[in-house]
Amino acid sequence: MVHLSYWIEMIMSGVVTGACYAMIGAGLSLIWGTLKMVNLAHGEYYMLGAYFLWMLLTVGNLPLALAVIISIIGVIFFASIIHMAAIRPLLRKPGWNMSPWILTLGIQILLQNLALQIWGELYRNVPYFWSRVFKPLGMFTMSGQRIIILAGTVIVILALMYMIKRTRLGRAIIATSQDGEYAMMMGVNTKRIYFITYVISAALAAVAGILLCPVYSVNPWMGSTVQTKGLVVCILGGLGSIEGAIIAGIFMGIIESAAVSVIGSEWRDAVAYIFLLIVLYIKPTGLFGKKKGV
Amino acid sequence: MDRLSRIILYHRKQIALASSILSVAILAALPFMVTKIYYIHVLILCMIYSCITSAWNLIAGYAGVFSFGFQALFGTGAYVSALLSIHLGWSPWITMWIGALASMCIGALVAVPSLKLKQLPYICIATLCMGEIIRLIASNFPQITRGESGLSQIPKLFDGNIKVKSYYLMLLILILTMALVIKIVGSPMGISLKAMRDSQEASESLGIDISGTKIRIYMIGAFIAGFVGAFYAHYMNILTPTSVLGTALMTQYVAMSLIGGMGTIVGPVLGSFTITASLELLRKLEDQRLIIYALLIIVTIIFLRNGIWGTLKDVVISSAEKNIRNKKQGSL
Repeated sequence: MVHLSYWIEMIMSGVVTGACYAMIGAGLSLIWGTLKMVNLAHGEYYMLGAYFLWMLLTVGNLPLALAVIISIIGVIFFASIIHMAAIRPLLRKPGWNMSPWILTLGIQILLQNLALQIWGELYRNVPYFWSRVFKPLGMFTMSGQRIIILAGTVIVILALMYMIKRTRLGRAIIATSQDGEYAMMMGVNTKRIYFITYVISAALAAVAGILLCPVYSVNPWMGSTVQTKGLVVCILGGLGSIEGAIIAGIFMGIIESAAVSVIGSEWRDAVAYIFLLIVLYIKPTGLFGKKKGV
Repeated sequence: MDRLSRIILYHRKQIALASSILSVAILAALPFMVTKIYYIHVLILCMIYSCITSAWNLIAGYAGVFSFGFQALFGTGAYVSALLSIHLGWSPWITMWIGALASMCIGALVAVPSLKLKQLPYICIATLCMGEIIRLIASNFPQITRGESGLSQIPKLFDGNIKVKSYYLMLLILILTMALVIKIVGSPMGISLKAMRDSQEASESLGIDISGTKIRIYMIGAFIAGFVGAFYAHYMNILTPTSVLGTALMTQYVAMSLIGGMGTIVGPVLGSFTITASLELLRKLEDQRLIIYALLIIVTIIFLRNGIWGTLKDVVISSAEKNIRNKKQGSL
């Protein structure tokens, strides 16, 4: 019985990390699908979300709910400035297959070092949103924060799926991602869709940062690893497929936490990368990728 | 103006040869003119980056295989050579070659699976993952590589006046690398590389052996990177996984290649010299250094999409051609 509870706890912790990867991966996939670009600055929105929350809670002394909302709005504001200033001038110009990589790499270095300048290299801690610890069935422990992470992710992802599948805006996003020019002919303001997609995905990253910052500490480099994992998840699920990214994210979280308990925590990232390479070797389109376009 | 444009257009090869001889002469004379050892060190770093960036540009700019794990090849060369010379006591002059060969093998290992992938993001992420795996291997075996604390007291290549001697060795490596790059770009292989980059399907239908060419070019690039990495190890005498295998190095060669001009021969060298030298000049600013660096990357990609050299080349050649065309039309 002890053994079983150990495994359940391991899987639960994997699911919680995986939920975060799923949210980051879904945002990256959304951007890839519509704008046809890879956003290497994505992890920095995650970092900014966490820092804004930390600032509002410790310096501003605001209540939690208000602080969360203001930090998401702050990240959205930042993302819109970056979209307008740097991404729009290059959007769909010749060389678009390569230029975003380097552009967003530049933005990543910029935001990371600005954060380092403003907030310093100290690791900051955000208190748990809900500090109770649960013992469901008396078998394993689960902190309230992890329940909040899980619930928050599920709500955000369901809202995202609803928005994409059921609303007019979502249909416009799908149309733009299938064929930008044709969507424009059907009366979709594609420029506006590009903007909205970028902002939504930044907001997803910010939510992930806000939910996870009490578990991990807040520092200027927290975005990089998460972003690499997000990219891995995104490729694993098949580029452009949001559902694929979500499933692959949770899958990846479980595999990682299994690797941590079997081999040791220093090999956690390596296991994730090796898993991706094996999958790509067997199925070059990713686990849930469509055949076309590769 | 008219004569000038004619000269530029018709004597491009001679001009290129003359200017490369001139720049080699200047580089060879610099240690006599520069008195501060520190500047010689900066120049050596410039040349090391020129070599890696040129090798990467051969793969990414010419063949269109965007490898984001190239730093791993540099690091493999450095680590293999350093470990062999430390643990087995072999001379660094021999281990440098072994390091380069090891890096070439890793290069082939990377190239083979990435051949199956054709879409750009897949290749980028897969190579990035391979690079990270190699970094994790280097930092997770502390009994051999001493982990994150890194190797130190790596045997030196020279005694006595180390900096100046290393400078000339590095200059020789740079000249050989550039000669190899020029040779490859001008050869039939170079032409098939460019064809592959522009359209994989079309070049495949014309009978170009895509997989074979990709593997070969990757191995050549890996050999250069590994050799320079081994030189770096014995020159700096200190190695840490973050410094030679980290993604910061990747950022650097990508930015250098881009700012100089991708898919050109001069571009990467120009980019490496400008960025390395300006980063060293900005050292006084300490913390703002990387912010300026990032802004430089962003501004370049928005306003000079072909890099410094690419833009310059476009402007000069197109204006020269225009001049001559106008002249011809006038005479008719």
